[in-house]
Amino acid sequence: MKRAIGLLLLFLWVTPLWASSLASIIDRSSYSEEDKLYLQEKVALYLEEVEREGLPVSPLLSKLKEGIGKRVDPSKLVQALEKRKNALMEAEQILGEVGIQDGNREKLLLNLALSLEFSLSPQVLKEVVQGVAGESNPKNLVRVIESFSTFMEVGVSPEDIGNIASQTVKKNLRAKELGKMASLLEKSRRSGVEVERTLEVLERALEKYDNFSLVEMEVQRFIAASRTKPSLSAGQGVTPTSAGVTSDGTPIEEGGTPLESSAGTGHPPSQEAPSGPLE
Amino acid sequence: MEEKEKKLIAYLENLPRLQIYEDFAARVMEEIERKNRFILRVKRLVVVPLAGFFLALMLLTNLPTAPRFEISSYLGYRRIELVFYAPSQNPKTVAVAGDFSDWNYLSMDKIRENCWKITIRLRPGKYQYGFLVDGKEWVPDPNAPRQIADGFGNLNSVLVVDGVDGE
Repeated sequence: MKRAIGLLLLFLWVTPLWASSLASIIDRSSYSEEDKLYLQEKVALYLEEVEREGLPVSPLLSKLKEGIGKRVDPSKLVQALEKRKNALMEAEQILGEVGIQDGNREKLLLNLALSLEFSLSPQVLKEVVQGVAGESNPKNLVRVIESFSTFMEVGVSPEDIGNIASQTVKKNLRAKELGKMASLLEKSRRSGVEVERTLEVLERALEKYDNFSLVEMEVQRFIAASRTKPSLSAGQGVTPTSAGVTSDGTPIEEGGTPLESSAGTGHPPSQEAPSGPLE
Repeated sequence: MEEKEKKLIAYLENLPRLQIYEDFAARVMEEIERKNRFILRVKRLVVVPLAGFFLALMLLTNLPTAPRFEISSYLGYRRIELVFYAPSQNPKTVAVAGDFSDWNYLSMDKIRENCWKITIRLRPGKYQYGFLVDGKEWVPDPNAPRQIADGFGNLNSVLVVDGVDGE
C-alpha cells in the first residue's frame, strides 16, 4: 500500500499538472489520430517551455480549446499557439527589464502578451510600462495596457496605437486619460463614425491642447457632428436587411460592409449597444 | 399586611360566587372540537385544492408563480442575453461559444424566424465569443462594437460585462 502511494506521488511529481488536461482536450477533438499525435507533441513542448519560465499555461490551453472548438487546421493551431507562447515570453522579458514585481503582475503579463500578439511594438510597450511604472497605484499600469487592448478591439491599427502610446509617454498622460480615449473610440464605432477619422481628430487634438478635457470635448463634438443617423439602442431590434449573415454565410455589418477585415481595419457597425452586454 | 393588600383580599372575598355545572369542561371541549372540525373542513375543501391549483400552475406553465431567488447575482454573476439575427440565411441551428464556455458550444433558442437567443450568467470581465451557424460556420457577432482577430484568420467578438444585467 505504501509503495502504491509512493508510486502515485512520484507519478504526480514527475507529471506536469497540465498533462492530463492536455491529453483529454486533444482526445475529445474531432481530429484524426495522426493530427492528435502531432498536436499532443507540439503543444506539450510549448507548455513545458512556458512552465519552465514560470509563466501561466492557461492562455495556451484556452487557445488550444478555441482552435479545437473551431476545428482549425492543426498546423494553423500550432502556429497560433507558438505566437501566443512567444508573446508571453516577450511580455515576461519586458516586465523583467522594467522590474515590475507587484501583485497585478500576471494580469499585466496577459494583457501585455495580448498586445504583443497583435503586433504592437515591444519597444513602444516597454516605454509605456517604464513611463507608468513609477505611478503610485500599480493598477494604473494594468489599466493602461488594457486600454491598448480596447484600442485594438475597436479597430485601431497597431501603428496608430504606437502613436497614441508615444503621445502617452510624451504628454505624461495617465491611465484615466487613456481609458477615456478608448471610450471615445468605442463610442465613435458605436455611433457609426469611422474609427480612423475619429483617431485623426484625436491625434490632432492631442497635439493642439495640453488640457485633456479640451481634447475630449473636441472629439466628442466631432463624433456628434459625424453621426449620420440616429443610432438604435439595444432592444429596439435590427431591421431584417441590416446586420447578420449573407446567404453564403459571410458575416456582414449593417449596410452590407463585409466583416472580413482584420481587427486593425474593422468598420464600425452603426448600431448602438450597451457597453458590456451585447445584443 | 399593608392596607392595599387587605383591601384587595376584601374585594376578592366579596365577589359573587359562580356555580360551575358538572358538564362544564365537557361542553368547553366539545365547542373546541367543533371549531377544529370546521377549520379542518375549510382546509380540505379550500386550501388543499388551491395549493394543488398553484402547484399545477408552477409545474405546467411559465407564469411567475414561484418566488425567484437570484442567488447568482450575490455571487457576482450577471445575466447576459446574446441575440443572433440571421436575416437571409435562415439557419437550422445556431450555437454560441466563447472563453466563458471554455469554447464549448451552447445551443441557442430560436425565438422567432431568423432570431436566436441565449441567456448566460457571467462574472464581470472581458470575454471573446462567436456563433456557430448550422454546426459548421463560425460567425462573429455582427452587432458587437468590439472585435479582435482570433489568430486563425477569423474574428472573435468581444463582450465586456461591466456589472449590470442586460442584453
